[in-house]
Amino acid sequence: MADGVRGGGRPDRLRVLLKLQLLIQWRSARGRGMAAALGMGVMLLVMGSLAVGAGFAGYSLTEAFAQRASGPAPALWIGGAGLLAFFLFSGLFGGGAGSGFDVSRLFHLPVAAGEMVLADAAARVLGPWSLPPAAFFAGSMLACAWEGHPAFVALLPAALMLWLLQAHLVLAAGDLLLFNLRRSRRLMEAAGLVGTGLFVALLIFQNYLATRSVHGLAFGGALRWLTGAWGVLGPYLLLLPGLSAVSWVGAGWWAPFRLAAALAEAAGLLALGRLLLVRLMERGAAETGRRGRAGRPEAARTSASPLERLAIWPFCVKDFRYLTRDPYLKTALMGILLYPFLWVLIATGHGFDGRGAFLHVGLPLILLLSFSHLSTNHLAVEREGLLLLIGSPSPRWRLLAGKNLLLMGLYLGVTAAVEGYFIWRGMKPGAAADDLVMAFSMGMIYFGLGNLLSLIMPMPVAPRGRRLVPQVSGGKMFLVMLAQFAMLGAVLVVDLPVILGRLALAHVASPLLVAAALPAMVLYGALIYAVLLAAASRLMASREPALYEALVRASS
Amino acid sequence: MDEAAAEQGSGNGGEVVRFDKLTRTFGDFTAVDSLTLAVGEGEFFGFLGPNGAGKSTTIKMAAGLLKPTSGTIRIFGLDPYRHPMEVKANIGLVPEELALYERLTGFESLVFSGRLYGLDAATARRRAVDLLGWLGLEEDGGKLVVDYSTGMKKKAALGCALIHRPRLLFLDEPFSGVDPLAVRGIKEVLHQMTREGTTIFFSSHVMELVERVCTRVAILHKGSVKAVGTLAEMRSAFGLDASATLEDIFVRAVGEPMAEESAPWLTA
Repeated sequence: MADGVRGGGRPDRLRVLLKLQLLIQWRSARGRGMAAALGMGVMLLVMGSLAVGAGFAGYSLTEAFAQRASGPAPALWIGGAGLLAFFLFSGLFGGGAGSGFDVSRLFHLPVAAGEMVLADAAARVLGPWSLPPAAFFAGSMLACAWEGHPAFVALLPAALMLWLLQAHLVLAAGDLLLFNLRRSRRLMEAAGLVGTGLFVALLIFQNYLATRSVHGLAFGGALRWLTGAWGVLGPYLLLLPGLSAVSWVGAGWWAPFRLAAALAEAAGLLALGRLLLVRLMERGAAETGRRGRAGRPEAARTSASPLERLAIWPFCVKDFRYLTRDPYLKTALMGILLYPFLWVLIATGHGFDGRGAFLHVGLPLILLLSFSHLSTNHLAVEREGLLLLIGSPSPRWRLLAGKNLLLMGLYLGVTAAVEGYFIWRGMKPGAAADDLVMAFSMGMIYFGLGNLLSLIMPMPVAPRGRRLVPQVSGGKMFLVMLAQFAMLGAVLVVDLPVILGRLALAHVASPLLVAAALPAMVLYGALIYAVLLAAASRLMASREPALYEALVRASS
Repeated sequence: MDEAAAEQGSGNGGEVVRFDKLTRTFGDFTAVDSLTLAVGEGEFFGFLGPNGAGKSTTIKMAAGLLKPTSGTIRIFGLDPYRHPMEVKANIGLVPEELALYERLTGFESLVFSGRLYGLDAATARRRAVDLLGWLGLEEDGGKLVVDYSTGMKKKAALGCALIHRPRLLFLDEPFSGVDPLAVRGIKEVLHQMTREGTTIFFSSHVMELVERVCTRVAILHKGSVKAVGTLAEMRSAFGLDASATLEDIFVRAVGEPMAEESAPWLTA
């Protein structure tokens, strides 16, 4: 062996790997400059106070329920609080926890797989993305101390460690397992759906265990108001994001079969839907492409279909192909489709009546939130392809509108599916049409605002495992998430005439009035969208060099 | 370096590219430093330099992707940041980091690129088929780009840059990984294009290739032009005899090659 070269024992290698991972994670999360530090500070403060705030909200809601248990307003508040807590908590945690380093870069080095796994798990627990949940637990500890329950204060750190270990182990196992599939694209494509399903199942299982353990340790009847909060908010916090499938499939011997059947049915429908859409949209181009495989095409098609003549059609088709072929976007799409499905089942699980406003207005909001990763950072998702887009002379409104059209189609498709379920549960078909019109209007405004956010606060993303992980500081990620919530607020304010109109339509008997109101609602949403699109188009033209630097150059 | 020589475009017609005191900094680092250069219509212009010399940054500024810190750029007499659409409609770009959508097929990539440049669907498809055949990708047009080799990806990127028949082509290391047979075929077509008035701005590390194909060459080092002109002009400027190759000129312009003594244990 040459001078100075040692074999390097396992502890040495583990230390080096751990140091490298922590260095990368902390550098990436810390960001640069005062704004990033400020964002991180605000984020931790909010996470810390979330536990206390959620408790107070829950307690007051318990009181409200005692007085007027069946009204829609408390339910709306609970849903909102639950969603806020979940998105702030799990979105940050899930997005950030994946921002470590790519272990596949070590595959050619003499490092054992077990060492990589161990270093990866340890670095995740010690990494910066343990801070947001830690702040949440710190808030709980303060609340417990304030209420005079020191025993629980002592128990909470243990609960935090348990939660972190469970969460990180699932993330690490999922990433390491699924990352290997990236090496072979064909294998990955074949196993993609199964792998993602497995990952989602692992998360559900993990969350079930974690929330039960935290519940037992922290909130087990110790605090009057926290217990009250848990009683009211708990099911929503746990169930809204589909965290505990066990609750809705029941506890009998048939539960696993029901779960498997539901998953298989959803997967089958997804596959069938995708196949049909691909066939419809790609008919012309696919024929030419297939001929290309066998040999030189005899002649390209010389006529264009009416849809192809639409200026925004090429962008819409390109995005659709990408959404159905790219493993990272497919994973995101699965989340988008699973999340509202589970929410609706849970929201209507204990009966359908008396939840009118909650369901009608809540559904588009839930759906729009689930689309936020695609609709508020859609230029970053282009990755290297962005260079082709901004290097072209194509009018910018076409690029943006093409993307919006695809997302709008998906959003309305999911809305229609859920409305179909509502009709099956007894809702009038006319009400479903009203809902769709309101959803259209809200969607137009949200996607229009999403274009602006994509341009103003773009977050470069890079593949890690099966996810596209933002490559920005924790502070900036937090600010973007706040902006996404602010966008939802703006949608509620700007679209208020349509929302109120939709709720009023439930009490209108005249078909003529309904027939006049619906087109007006559509027109209102379309007009607002046109204004937002024009603004985004101008902004994009002026910000392209900055976008290139932020999204392509910074990540290459 | 003679500034007048750098400003002199020697193509068939008017001036197509002009950089005037072009500068780009990234924090404290100056990637391009007061670069002045002109390229004429129909030139096959070579742009050489060691790693980090500022070649790619210059090309990206010229293509309207990266804003200069100071100085001016004129493409066809227009500022690419004031008239971005007019400039972009007339240029083609093969960047160093290939701007391809890996989950589209080669055929779909070319058609999409054509549509971006305003071709109608039928024309884009027809040209895509022609380009795939010319680039030797006709058998692979239906495969996803992610399954292509590096050379095939370069060919696809070249096809995307050519589908709208640009008047100015920026090529940043376009032939790395491409097989010699294909390089030969592509070179011939590019030469034909320059004869018909297309200007090619060609960045590469391969001296032999640049020496064979380019009518004029600029050597960039640490962000500024160290030499520019035809091979004969540069030999004369550096006092080298007629047998001196472009590599000799390059070493003279940029400095000595890596010192062997810096890591003696490698050769011990």
